[in-house]
Amino acid sequence: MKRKLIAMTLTLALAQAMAVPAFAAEGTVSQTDSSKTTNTTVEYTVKETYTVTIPQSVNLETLTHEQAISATDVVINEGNELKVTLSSANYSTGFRMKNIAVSSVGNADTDFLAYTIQKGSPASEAVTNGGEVLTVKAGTETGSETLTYNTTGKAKKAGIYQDTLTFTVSVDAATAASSESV
Amino acid sequence: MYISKKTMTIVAVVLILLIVGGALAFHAIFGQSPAAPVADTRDKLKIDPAAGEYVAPETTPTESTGIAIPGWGSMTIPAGQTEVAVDLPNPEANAGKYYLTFELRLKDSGEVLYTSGLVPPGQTIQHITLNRPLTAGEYAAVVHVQPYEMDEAQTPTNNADMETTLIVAN
Repeated sequence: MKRKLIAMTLTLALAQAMAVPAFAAEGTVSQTDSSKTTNTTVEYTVKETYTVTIPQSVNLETLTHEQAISATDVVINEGNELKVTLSSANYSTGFRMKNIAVSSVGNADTDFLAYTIQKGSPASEAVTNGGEVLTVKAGTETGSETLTYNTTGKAKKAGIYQDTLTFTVSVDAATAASSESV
Repeated sequence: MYISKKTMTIVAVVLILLIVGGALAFHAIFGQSPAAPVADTRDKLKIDPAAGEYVAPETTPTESTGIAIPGWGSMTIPAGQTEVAVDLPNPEANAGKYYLTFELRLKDSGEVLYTSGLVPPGQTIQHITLNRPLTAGEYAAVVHVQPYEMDEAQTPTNNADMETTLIVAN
């Protein structure tokens, strides 16, 4: 009797050890399920990135000069647009190049040479300080624009005149009035 | 009235002398006859065949001197840490032309969080040390990218302010 009791206990223990709990895991299909299909979510996050190519410098050795600004590999969220504006620290009532021989603030009448910036090809639209020069909407991988520089007035001193432009690039919600650049 | 032969001779001679003298004076005052050939041993100047009306020089298409600047929609860094992982690349397109430097600033205050040295084309900075740790949240930030020509003077060029969102996560 004692032996039978021990055997029965061992048998029960063995049976319990062999029982595999059936977890209701996601993506798991068991033999008894009526539907043999399940779903798994695959996710990959693409971050917003882009490359903007800006002109090296303002070169006015010829009377007029054209330079290009472009955006490539533009990957941004739906409904957004990439916007590029430009500005100059020398800007006063207009864009100005400064005589590089002048280390101080400079005399507005004698140390600066005024110039204008237009965008478009042919040049058609004046660009203001902080003004937009390029816009690329989401879904458009590339965009470009031509900038044309023209001197106005006459320099009162000989020398090299320079201006440094800062291009500000942002990604914002697209506006209804903005248009793609070609 | 009787005029002697001698007197008439004298008057005639005087008249002749007056006529000849007048002719000589006229010739001297009003110059030679234009038809009169003058011996000119100089080589006369000629108009240079290269001379012509001014023509403005043509604007030639700009060579590709543009500077490639990378942009980021956002950057994610851990909260409370100064040693963080980022990706600040100088695109290969700038090879042989421009170094880039990067300066990370908070847009509203202008506070500088990080400033890099020169990054050669084709290389990237992947780990930086912030000037201070940030608490969790999203911050409007600007990466100021300043290119330098790869010459002896390392001349700075036009630059770019790349606006981005700094996501500081716990």
